[in-house]
Amino acid sequence: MRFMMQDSIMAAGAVCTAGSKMLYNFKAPLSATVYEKCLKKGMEFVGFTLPCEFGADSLFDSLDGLDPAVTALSEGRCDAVLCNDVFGKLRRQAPLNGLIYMQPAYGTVSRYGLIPAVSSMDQIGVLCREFKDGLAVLSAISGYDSFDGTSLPAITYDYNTGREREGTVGLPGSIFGEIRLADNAIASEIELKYFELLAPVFYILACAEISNNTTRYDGVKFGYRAEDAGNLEELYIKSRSEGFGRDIQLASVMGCMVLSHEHYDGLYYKSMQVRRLVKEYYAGLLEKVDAIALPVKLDGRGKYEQAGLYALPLLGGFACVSVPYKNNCLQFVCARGKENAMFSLAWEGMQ
Amino acid sequence: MNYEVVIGLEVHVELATNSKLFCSCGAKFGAGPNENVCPACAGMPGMLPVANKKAIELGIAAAIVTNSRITPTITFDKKNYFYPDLSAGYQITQWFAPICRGGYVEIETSEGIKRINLKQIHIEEDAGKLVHSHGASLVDYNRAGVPLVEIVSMPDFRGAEEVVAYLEKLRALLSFAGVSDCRMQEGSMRCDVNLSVREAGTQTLGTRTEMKNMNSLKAIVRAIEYETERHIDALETGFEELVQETRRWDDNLGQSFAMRNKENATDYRYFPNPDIMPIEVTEEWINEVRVSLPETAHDKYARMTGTLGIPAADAKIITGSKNLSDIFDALIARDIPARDATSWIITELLSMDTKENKSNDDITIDCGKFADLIQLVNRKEINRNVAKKVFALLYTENTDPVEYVKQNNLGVVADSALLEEAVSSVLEENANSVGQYLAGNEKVAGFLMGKVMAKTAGKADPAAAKEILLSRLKRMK
Repeated sequence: MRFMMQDSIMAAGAVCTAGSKMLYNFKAPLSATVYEKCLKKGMEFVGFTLPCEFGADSLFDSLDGLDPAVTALSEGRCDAVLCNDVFGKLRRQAPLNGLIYMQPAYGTVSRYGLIPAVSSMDQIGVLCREFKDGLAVLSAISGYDSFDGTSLPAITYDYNTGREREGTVGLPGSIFGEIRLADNAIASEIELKYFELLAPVFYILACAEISNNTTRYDGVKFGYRAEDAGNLEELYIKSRSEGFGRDIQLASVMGCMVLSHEHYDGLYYKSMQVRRLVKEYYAGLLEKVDAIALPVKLDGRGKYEQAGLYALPLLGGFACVSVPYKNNCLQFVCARGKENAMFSLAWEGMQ
Repeated sequence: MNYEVVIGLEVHVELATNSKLFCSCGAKFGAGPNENVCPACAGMPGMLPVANKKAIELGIAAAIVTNSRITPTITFDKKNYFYPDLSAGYQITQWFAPICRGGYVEIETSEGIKRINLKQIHIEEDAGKLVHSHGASLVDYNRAGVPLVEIVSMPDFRGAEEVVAYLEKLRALLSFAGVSDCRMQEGSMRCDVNLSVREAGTQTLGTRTEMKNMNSLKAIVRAIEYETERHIDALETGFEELVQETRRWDDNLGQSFAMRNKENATDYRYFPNPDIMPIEVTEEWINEVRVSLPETAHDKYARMTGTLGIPAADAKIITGSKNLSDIFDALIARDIPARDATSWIITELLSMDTKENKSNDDITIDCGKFADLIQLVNRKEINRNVAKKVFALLYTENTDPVEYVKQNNLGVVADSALLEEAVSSVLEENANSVGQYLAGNEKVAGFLMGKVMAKTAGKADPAAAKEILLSRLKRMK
């Protein structure tokens, strides 16, 4: 098996830029846990794909510019790409291009060695052409890692599709028209509660964490440094103005605002409260059904109205898989521990 | 008008862990620049913090000895600001759910016993250090990530005497509990002084100024006295307007200077660190820490003055310093009687120390060799004079007393034949003095005794020698 990684996942000694000028010369001091695990399984590393800056330019831009990871797979340069898909670009684009994107539940795969964007939602997933390849890579990279404080205790990670199984799929009637399910799926109507809140809450939390995760890039220790700074403050301002693209700068400013003394309670803290409600509600729902099905895009709706689709699994820390499904493209979401049931449901619809 | 000074303290104490708070780098003082640094504490991306369990346990210990209320679920949070000594651009601290709240420390001053209330104690990581030289600024991240607790008091102090009593009490509590070695010179204990002045008897607080990173008791006393005067002057004369600000104390000049005021104060944008899960501090865990705590200074004092029969004044000196207590314990463990251990520490060890002007916490001595030396004296193998000289060598050069005594043949001369011989030749050589003695001037015996000691190169067992000398003189009468 040949695999690539987004350039935000480290391989010791290789320059790791996370798509940012800020890290144009940053040599990874060590290797990500996922990279080591893949090598140990005998997989062959063939190179990096360039993500948008810290995986976040789609924060304010369109989600439709083709991601280099999608191109790399479509062109057959490898069998799988390890990615961090916080903003939903890959979960949206993969099935539209005949590919699959699998994302584990938060805490299942180690984030050690991943240059962070949104720490509470970063999660390394697998973009692949063949379902079985994705399952093999996901099985290989999952597991407890003592270097990651949010890593969950190990359970057995043997992902498969166990094809005969039937399962219930939660379908939110509010955003689906007619949808045809595969034979093994039993539909169950669900309410997509809090849906309109998901996007703003996601944006507030994402900006806060991006602004904080990018403070370490200051021109002092490594990475890009402005040349003609006269004093410390100028060094900071020039290095960061020249080193970051527009979206990271925008996210930083917004993040500082939502975390400021003035706005913390009203924006950040309130968002954390809503996140907890979302997590509780959907975790309850995912006890009753094996998976929830969501579309991967909403035609005729703006970017921010669609953002909730991608935010939902991340805010709850759920696993998900995006697949071309019958005449449609679907993102299935499930609770940790029920991945195989979800994979069976997704797989069946691809036949 | 009568004024009253109101002071609150924030004391930073470095925790006595082997490794840093969130990575496995060493945390000991004294390594070369950037020797104790890894990608995590250097602030590189992709590294994740994993909390040091020992540091949290020392935080729990600090909570226990300060009678504080431990928080059942603690969090670690991020405090954002830019400065080159802060490698990640944020400091990991406890803002929302610190290890404990609401404790107190009892202090004793000339006015009696007083309770100083604590607002909270939180665990946090230290920052690195900037070194300015040759027109450049260099950063040393050795201290970056070293675990600290910050102990925040209520504004309960009414003068420098109370502050000093509190810092000394805190140092005893924390060093005896093994939380920290609390060495102010090495920066493992330092303190921010928040001070304001108001009319005596009123309740509202005056304008507050803060002096940061004070690390000597003397400087703290001077700074408090200076700052109090400055506030009173400002209130009296109106010549200077007091503003809420951070000030730097210059101990050489004996003055404080404004650093930054509230207008350009940073908004630290605290938020919970998503990389560190909230940690439950269970009753079970607290009890484990509680039972593993070493003897407190208070208990040790009681034991020394009680069953061990040590005079109160001596016990107070020994238990006033964790270091002296450790030396005391080490001697006891080597079967030195408690009274001997105490007197050797106080009369010999501390007199060495005054010469070097070290504090009781900084004295170092090889306790094994120290015990060997005391044993030599107790077994009467060397006399006290020889012992003093050997002790000086042991203290300054770590000389092995047993070897040294053997090599230099300093063992006590108690052999009566040898002593008889020495006495005989002294009596022969000092016929004049002997004559004086026989004529009734008995004081001359002391002079002759000195001669006998000299004859044996100071090694004679003084009691035996004296007995022989006197009996010989008596016989000559």
